[in-house]
Amino acid sequence: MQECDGRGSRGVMKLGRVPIAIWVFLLSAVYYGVLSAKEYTWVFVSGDSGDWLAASTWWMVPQPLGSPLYILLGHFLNLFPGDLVIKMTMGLSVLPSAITVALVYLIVYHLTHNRKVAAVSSLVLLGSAVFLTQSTILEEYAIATMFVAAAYYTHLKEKRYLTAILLGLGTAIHAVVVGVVLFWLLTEILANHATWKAIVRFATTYGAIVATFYSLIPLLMIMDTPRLLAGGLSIESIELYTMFITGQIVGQLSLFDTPMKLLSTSGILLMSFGLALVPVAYALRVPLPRFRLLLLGSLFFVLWYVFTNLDGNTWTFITFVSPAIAILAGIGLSRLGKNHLRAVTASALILVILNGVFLNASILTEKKPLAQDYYSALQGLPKDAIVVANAGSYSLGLFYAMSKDRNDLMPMIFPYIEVWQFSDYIGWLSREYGFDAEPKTTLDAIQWGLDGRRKVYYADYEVSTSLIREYLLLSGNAPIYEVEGIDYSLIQRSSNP
Amino acid sequence: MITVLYSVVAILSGVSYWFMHPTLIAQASSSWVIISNLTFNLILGACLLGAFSPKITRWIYPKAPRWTFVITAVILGVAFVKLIGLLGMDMKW
Repeated sequence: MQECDGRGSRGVMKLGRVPIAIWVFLLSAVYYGVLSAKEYTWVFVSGDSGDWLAASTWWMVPQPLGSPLYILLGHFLNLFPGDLVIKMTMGLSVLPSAITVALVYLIVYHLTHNRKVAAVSSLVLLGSAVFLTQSTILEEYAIATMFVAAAYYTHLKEKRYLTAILLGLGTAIHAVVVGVVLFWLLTEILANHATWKAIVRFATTYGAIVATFYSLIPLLMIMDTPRLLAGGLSIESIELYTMFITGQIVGQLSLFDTPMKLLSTSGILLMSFGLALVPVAYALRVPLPRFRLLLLGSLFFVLWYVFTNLDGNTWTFITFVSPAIAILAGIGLSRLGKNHLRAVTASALILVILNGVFLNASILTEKKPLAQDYYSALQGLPKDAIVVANAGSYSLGLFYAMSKDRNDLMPMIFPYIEVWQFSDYIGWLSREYGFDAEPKTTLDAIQWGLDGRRKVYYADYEVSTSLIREYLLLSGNAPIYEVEGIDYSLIQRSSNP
Repeated sequence: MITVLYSVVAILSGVSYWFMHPTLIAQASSSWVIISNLTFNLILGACLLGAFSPKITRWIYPKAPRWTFVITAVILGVAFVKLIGLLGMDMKW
């Protein structure tokens, strides 16, 4: 069956039956809804969820690069009654992912005119491990991926402005979509599939959307809000905010780690897509039509990023290209026989069932409620307690607890003061808690608290902060309390400062 | 040849799933999974609905109308849940 990639497709292609796509959406929504975490959790690398929850409650500058559309949507959901965790998980992860699965059905049907192949492609995406994990927790990847998938669809329909707007919205959720867009444009230019005029119009629309949303971040820097990372609106603070990530966490390139990352990422792709990877290979046979070249460009960028990144948790970025892989599997299946379809269908069904058991965020959270126990323990701390934590899940969870009526807690986050020197964090501490002089180290600030008869709670098992705890204990200070629910036997050497 | 390819990919996928799923779970403590009675039974119950209820219904009464499949499915589902409960299924892996 001849594949159509969108060129000259006006009035020639007919969509698949819309009711089938709606059924696909509803079934996907139920599946992800059942599996989704119903409480505050860190499972599936969602330790940043504390930051998103705090930034959706307070008007504050979240971690770089801000995810402005995501926090705006979080604030919108916070206007309605109900648990914010459930609202954001369902509204910004489960439902967008169900939409993405339905979009894959529509895209593959548009390309192949084969309902069975389109349905199997949706099933492949539904059960793909990486996509599923990010669809069932409070994180930004699912909704950013929805905008990327919607952009693929509108591109096929030759709606160029809408495509640029959707990619802009995706970028306003997660900045890595910029890379997807750059490779999108690169493939269009290199393959002579678009005129320079069209590229400029696309880039202008896209840039306008991105600039509009990201202007929220400097605005939050100007406003007098709890600014715990940025340094107020100045060249220095903007530079620190935007460049900080390049030397930390997901900004670290490590070619030495690439062989191991190749191995682990291959394993993750195999466990996510199973037998569907075979028709993907068939779909990538040259010469590649325009749309498949676009999908390949997105795939190339994300896989390059994952293979060469030091942070072992960048596998979550595979979420952005999971729809592309499912679409390529559908394109490949449309060129192969029925036995291939049966094999891939069986593989996808097995993965859907297996993931319901092994990657069930609802069960994992219920049986091991680390984050929820930590949050509850923080809510139960005495008034004006100091909480010492390392930057990460525990510090972000602390900000979430503070945003929920525990503004009295004093967050001592290592190494905000002495290593990263977040000037506004230091200034905020001084203003809020009445320091005589700005503290130079975390220990200075804790000592100030102890002198003021505040109780100090230790809330992390990272060795970097455990050294602070040991020093305070050895120096004969008042006992350092431990936050309940944290397994301190897991204190281990950390490579982070 | 293609059967060999699919077989190899299937084995690699299964092995990858076993070794990589803890990476995705990424809990701060050691990861382990408990099979939930509710979720597990819902999924397998759905499989019974799709696969066995039509055949069993027609075996009992060959001329049974389609809406009777739902009754069979409900009976099968309830029986399955009861069986799982009798087996005391709440395993740690």
